Amino acid sequence: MAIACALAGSRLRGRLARAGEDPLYRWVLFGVAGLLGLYLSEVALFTLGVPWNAATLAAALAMAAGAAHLASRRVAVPEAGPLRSGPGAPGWGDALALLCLAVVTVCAVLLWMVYSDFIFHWGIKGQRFFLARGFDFEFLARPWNWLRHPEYPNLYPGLLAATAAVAGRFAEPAMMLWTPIFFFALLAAGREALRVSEVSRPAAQATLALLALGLAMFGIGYTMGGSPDWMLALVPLAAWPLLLSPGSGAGFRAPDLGLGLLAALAAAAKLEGLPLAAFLAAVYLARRGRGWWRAAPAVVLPALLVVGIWLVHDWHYDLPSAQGERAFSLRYAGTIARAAFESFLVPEWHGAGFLVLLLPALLFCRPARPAALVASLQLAFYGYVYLATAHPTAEAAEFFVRSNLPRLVFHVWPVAIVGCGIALSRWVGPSPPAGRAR
Amino acid sequence: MPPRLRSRLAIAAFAAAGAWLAYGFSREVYRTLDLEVLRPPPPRAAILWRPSTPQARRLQAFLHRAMESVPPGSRVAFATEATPSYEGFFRFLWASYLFPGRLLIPEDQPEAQAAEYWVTFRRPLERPDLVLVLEQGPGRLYRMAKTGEAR
Repeated sequence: MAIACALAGSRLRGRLARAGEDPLYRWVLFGVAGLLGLYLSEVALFTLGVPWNAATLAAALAMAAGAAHLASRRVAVPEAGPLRSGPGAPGWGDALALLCLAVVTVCAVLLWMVYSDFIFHWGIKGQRFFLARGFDFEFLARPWNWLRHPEYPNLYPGLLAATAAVAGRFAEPAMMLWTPIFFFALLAAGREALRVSEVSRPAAQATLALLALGLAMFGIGYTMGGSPDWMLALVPLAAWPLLLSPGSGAGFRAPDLGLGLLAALAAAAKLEGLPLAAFLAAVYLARRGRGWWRAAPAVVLPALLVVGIWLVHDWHYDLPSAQGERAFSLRYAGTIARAAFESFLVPEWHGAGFLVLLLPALLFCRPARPAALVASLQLAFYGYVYLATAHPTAEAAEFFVRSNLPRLVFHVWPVAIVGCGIALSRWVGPSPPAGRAR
Repeated sequence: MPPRLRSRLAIAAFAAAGAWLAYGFSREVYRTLDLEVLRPPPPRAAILWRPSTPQARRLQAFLHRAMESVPPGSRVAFATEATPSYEGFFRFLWASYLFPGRLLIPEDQPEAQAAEYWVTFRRPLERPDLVLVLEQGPGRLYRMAKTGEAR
């Protein structure tokens, strides 16, 4: 399924590929394009009343790939960089990352790290969609399903349902395999972020190892298997190279659409992805400089499309919302700050969660600046939500923060660790040639 | 700061971070192995169940058998023992995941009164309109009695 998505997304290669980039990273962007293509195919089939099954989904995805091919057939595809030589050549850090990937894969497939919300929320939605052969909004609209976030975007449950449709049954180990796939994509994005930041090879290998160890540590310990949070963790890191070297000039440039697709993935993955998509687009367009408005459609429209679909579904099926009342207040600020501090101390983070507090400091590290800005804004947004939620009591405020902050930290932690690695690497060796990173 | 000292400090920071994260990773892997393989997972609240938790396994085994008696698409009410806080609700969420293709309804919902079947967990029901179909461990499956049917 992942290969089919990546192959379908690769039809957009003329519009997505950049010269000299890591081939693995290139396939991450193709995969993102393919996931969005699959989601749009599912929406189209559902809207037309065509039930989802392996044949209809394959046909719809093939049509989406065909349309992508037509859109980019006349654009020359730039050469990717070498995978086995040069500064990005595999090393001990890659080996350690592969070891972490193998351990995560084993834990995921053996159901040793099943995320509780996979049972309560994401998995059951995927299961219902698979059995209903389409989005089961009748089920989601039941009043007792409010805790399952019926108003959430449906890309991930749709992906689970499509996987089950291809497999012929809803098998948890197959569903869990998406976790190591997203983990692998995160590692590939980390490699490319380090490459474009022109980090020395030893520092790049060390940082990649730290990224892999930290993600695997928290992913296994906090049982993040089957969680869509891996997608939100992937987006800002995968956007790093595009934010660092945005397209320039008036015409269309490959990073524009790549960034647009990543923002769309964030917006379609989870509710928390909406502000992330907005921050990504705003920071990217601000860095794009003159002619930014010509790039805006490619950057903004993919996210607007998935958000539009999501809003129409919510409105049309009158889906209940689990979002509480909003009323900004500093009344529980002390309680929230204490609970946040304790959330950074959860055993599964082993103290590494505190690293995200360094994100604002990374604004002073040139290559890390754009991605750190996006991640800092996202973290600040989470803080705003904690203060703007109408908590009935201090205990409720504390429970709210402690029940989700360790997981939300996961979204921005990859940017924090890669940024810290890059900042430290400036101390180890000579500064890279100026002019590359703005 | 002299460049040489700066460089050594950075290398030390990389090494310390690597050692700490490697320890954390090993610790989490060991903890998972301990929970899943070395020791049976302890009974716990439903919000913390894993697929291997004994309560979840018992519920799954019961519902797997119950599916043979409940046709797909049926409306099934779910009841559990009186539990503190949200425990009953999380048991309901687990049960609905483990009972695919059937619409599970919490007992406190008005729609539950129109259910064709009742599934209970750790709670026997004594109602004249229900016929016991299956009992396995803590789980019971009832169907609505037909008019004039003796229990």
